[in-house]
Amino acid sequence: MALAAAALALVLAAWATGWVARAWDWGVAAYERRFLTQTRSEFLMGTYVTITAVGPGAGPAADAAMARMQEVDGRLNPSDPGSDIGRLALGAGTDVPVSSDTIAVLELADRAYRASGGAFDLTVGPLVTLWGFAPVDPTAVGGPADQQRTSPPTDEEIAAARAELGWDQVSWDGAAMTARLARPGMRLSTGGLGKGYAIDAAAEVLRQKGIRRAVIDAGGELLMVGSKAGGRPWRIAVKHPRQDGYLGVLNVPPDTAVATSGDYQRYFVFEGRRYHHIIDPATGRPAERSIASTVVAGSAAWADALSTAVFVLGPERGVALAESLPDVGALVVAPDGTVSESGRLTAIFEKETGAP
Amino acid sequence: MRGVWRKLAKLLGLRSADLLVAAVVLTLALAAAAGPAVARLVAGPGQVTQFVVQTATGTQSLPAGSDGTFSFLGPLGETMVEVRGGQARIASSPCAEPSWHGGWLNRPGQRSVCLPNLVSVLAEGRGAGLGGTGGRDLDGETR
Repeated sequence: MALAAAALALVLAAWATGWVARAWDWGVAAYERRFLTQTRSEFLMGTYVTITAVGPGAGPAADAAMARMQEVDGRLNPSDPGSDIGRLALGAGTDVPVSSDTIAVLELADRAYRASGGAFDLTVGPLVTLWGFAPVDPTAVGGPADQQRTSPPTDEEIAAARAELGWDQVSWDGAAMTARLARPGMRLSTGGLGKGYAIDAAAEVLRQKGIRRAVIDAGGELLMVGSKAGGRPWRIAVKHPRQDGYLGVLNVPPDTAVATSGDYQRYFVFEGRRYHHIIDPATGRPAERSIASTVVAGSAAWADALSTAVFVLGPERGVALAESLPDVGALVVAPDGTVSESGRLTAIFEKETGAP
Repeated sequence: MRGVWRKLAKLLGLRSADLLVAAVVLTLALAAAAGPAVARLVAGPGQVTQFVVQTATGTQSLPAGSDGTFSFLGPLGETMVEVRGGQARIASSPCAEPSWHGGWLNRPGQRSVCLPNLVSVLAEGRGAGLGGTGGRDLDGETR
């Protein structure tokens, strides 16, 4: 009997150390993947969107969530003259009727502008276009227009485009559902916020449909809905900005978004120098203090906007911005490869062996 | 066999029935301890089973063993997908940089995309996390 008692104690010890629980979690996750998981993918918002939902009714819920993202895209797409953003540019100087989505985006943009001291500025559109990085619609008849530059614009061109900026000249009325750009020539660039907002909107649809576990991935910008099987953290790899590997892995809590901005996403090289798509509103040129930034936040829209702001601000001010905001973590890679992290991000980041 | 069992019980000072109970419990304990490792071993270290190519007009699956080069048409022209030795890559495409994962896809969840030509190649297989990124229990990749 003594041996039996010892063996029983061993079972209890195994349980206590979590092995049995981990085996159970692994089994539940495998079952969910095999029988309860539905995935939907679309080319949307200038990127590739995948919605993976778990649970009864996951298929119809993912379809509805994808439809919601398409609806948001139809309202925020700056290259579509019929979208809210397109009509605002065409109707500059007048009050333009817009959707509640656009009002919500303007309010989020205002929050990000103020928090970042102007490093995030939705009116940067004319500069994005000047540098050849305005979003194109790849589904347009005849294929996407070729807007990519091969050389940087002149100082005069940059100064002229910068004169069209001004967040203080954007106004909106949430009650009347109208918005206005004060001057013709102004243009909003929703690239730094629109995808995140659409992800949040899709997540809301999934929750309304009863989905308690899902991952929404729009070109590497992710929102994890609910918790992972067994309550373990979601594991999200962070791409290395200069190598085909990872900087490390983030152990992300439930209902958290992760967004990354990098100078490798869209760029051209002229005379050995890289010119990328994240424009610093203060200089009118591609931001130079970072080569990548990753932000973890409670909503995808907030993570999206802040990853742009942190990139523009650079390691020191970017990390300080993240530290000043509740529930936000940031990781910034400087041009020399040095990685800076805010405290909240350090706590959840497993650095890859050999990464800087 | 029965003789050995009795000798072992006698050696340990136990009755045969006690020894049986102890052996069962001990087996359960070992299974509990080694279960996850064994399960992962059985599942394989992120083995790719097929490559799923999505275009603007539809989806096609290419088994991992179907070595060859396959053509897919997009709005800008032809994207060639090469499958070789259980790996796949976009061998040629009319899109400029960037396309995600320009090299070979050899882990579940890895994806290569030519956005302008609306062609996506996804490596599917065992070992992928919920978000599809595999090999290390990953649920996604931010880039």
